[in-house]
Amino acid sequence: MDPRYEEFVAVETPRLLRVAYGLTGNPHDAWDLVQEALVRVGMKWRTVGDGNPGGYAHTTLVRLNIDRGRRLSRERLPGVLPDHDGPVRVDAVLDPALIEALRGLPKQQRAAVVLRALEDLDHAGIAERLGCSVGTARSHLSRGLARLREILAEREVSDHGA
Amino acid sequence: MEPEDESYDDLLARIQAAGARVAPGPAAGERVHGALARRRRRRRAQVALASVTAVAAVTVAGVVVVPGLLDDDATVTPADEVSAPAIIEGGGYRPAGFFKDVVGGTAVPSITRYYRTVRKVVFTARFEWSPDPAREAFLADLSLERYRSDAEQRCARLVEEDGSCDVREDGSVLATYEVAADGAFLAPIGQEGRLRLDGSPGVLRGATYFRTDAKAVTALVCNCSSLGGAVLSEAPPVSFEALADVVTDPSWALRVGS
Repeated sequence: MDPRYEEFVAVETPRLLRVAYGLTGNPHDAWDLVQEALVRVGMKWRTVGDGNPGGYAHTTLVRLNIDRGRRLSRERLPGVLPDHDGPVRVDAVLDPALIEALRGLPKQQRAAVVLRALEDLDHAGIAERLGCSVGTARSHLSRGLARLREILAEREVSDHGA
Repeated sequence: MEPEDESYDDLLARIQAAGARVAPGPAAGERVHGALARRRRRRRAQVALASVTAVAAVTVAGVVVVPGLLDDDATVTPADEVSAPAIIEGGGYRPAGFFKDVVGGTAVPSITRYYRTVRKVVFTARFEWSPDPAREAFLADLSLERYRSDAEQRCARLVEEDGSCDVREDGSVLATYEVAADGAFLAPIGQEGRLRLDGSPGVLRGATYFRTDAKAVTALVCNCSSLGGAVLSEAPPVSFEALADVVTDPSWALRVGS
């Protein structure tokens, strides 16, 4: 194993995991994405390693998530799996309302919002990761943030009314 | 920050805070390197298989030499391929404990085919899991359609590049996976979907592994997909020599945990 790849994995995994968690809303799917993205980088390390492997990994991760389709869109995870020494450590104090609200966004919008929040990317950077135009990325982000605000407000009203 | 997004500063900060609560566990790096090693091994096996196929096509004697496959001068006998019946069948392999109590259904891991060369044993494993139709809550909540797509995706990932997967209309899963028994190795196979059960406190991930070493294979059912997950049921090891016996005795079957 190339020691540079090992170092890359050690350094990049936390960042990838944060983004993946924002994209998927649960640690298990997040880890699936992270591992697959890192494996793909590893398979191409000879060509990617001297360039921008981090950018490659992040772009791969975001697009893998978009390609996953809608299979998890209706799923709500009420608990944590009984996993021992798993690859992901989750603070018990999460923000379930936010996570669920993020999951309610269309994937492109969710990705734009997460990339802005966690990677601090501008519209051009988001566009590059999503493989779309800057204008489209701007639209995804704008609509995503607005929709996220709406969902959270609706939930708040609902919670107070209950 | 783009000016038009500033009004969402609070939301972005909230997302940042949530992201900060997730971190890699102690086994993360190890898993990535293990996954990469397996992927590379599969690639090499695919290339090797193509080489063997090409060489075998022109082989007239019982021995072929495959440059670059094992060692440059490694002598490989033609694959001693046999069709073995399921080693675990009949009443099915009913996992015990949590898996059985919560999910129900029947899991049937089996070996359907194996062959060996001088240095390598390869088997095709088959895993079949059927939900228990009597568990109405399970089926009602699970949304068969969603489960099927979930199972298909996960099985496709597990058997990527060297296997196949079929998720049937009734939700049962049939997957095949080709594994090189090249030392201690856990091969996840089959149903690994995350299942949310109506009224249950959490979700469940079940997986069946075939653990192999150079001499034997053991079927296990675990309560999650990780290697650290609790093993709920473990069949007695079945040696590859015994597999050869199975071929001559199709009625032989191993029942576990029923």
